[in-house]
Amino acid sequence: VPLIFLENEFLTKVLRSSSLLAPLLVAEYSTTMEVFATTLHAPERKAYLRIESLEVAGPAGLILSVIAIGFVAIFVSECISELSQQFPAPNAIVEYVKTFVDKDLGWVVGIAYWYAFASVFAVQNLAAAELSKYWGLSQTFQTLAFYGLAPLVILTLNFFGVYVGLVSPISFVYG
Amino acid sequence: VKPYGSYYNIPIGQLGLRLTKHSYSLPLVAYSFLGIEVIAVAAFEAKKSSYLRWPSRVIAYVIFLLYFLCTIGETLTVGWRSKHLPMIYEGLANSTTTASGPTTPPNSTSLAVTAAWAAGYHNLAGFLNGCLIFSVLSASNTSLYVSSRTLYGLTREIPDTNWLGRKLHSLSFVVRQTGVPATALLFSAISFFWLPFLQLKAGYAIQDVSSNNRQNALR
Repeated sequence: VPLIFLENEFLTKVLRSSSLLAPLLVAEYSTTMEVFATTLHAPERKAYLRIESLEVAGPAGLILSVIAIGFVAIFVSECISELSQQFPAPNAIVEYVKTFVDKDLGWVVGIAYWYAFASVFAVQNLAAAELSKYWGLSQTFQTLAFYGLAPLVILTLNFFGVYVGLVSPISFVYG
Repeated sequence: VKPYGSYYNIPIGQLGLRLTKHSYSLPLVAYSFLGIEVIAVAAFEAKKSSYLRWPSRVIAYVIFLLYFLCTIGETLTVGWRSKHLPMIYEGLANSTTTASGPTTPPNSTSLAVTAAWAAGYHNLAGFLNGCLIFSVLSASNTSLYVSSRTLYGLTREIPDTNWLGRKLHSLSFVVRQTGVPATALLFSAISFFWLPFLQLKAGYAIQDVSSNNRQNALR
């Protein structure tokens, strides 16, 4: 952060708030895009609409996208790590917005943040079921294992709280 | 980057079309960086916040480097018109009756698995698929953790002066022995538990909406 930002209180506020909002916007935007893309296209056209980042943007476009979003992620992470070391607080993302930006915006951010992550929980289980097709797992077993069993096991694990050990609820592996 | 015009039949300039596609791929890539800020949520529950000093600073750089190298490897191995690339949000829009995945092995839409298979490492492809399933489940675990803590933090501050306030405030109940906000956890897990089951009923929920939407778009 350039020194001029640190000296100017308003600019510091703006910088902090934008760095806090960026991941939320990204999270919200991508979940919205996911739902949007599902509802936009009819199933009969699916064969022509194969879409993975690679196919939409091409190889160079994909690499450029990774670089662009990677830089955003690095900026966000730098700010977040500074803030969380300086002001450790429960429910940090919401508290920072409430304290440094605006109390009402904090509520909005909190609800959006909860919505994004609660829905991602379901979407990730769906993605795991999709991956299990590699071994020819039938729909019945997919449903049992990944729609039913996996959420229940994860929920049970979470009831035991955070501890240092083999299974820890915190992981930074995002597929 | 070669332009190609089969994606949308909309009469806009070639450059505009390419830019549209590139900007469309940005949120897809952004989705893989989702959760980079989770460390702020977890920082309070760490034994000592100084333990997180080094990881919180380095994690984004490490992830960026890994993604970058993976992307280069995958784009070199998998053709960008490969049949294995998934159809539009197959995981959500797919149904049991209209499923028409890739006919040639590997039966996977994942870039990493397809790349390993294309490079000739068939056992590695299976192993990678297992790793991916584990990491996806681990990520869903993290999502549940984050959403429960967020809900706890939100509901804790709601005043319990009226009926609705009391109900919402009760979501912030914490089990004393484990320190887990149990009610918020349960609520977060149940609130979207039904979502994957939607795709079991073919042509009912999602696809009805999609055809309606398309008709509206055509008008």
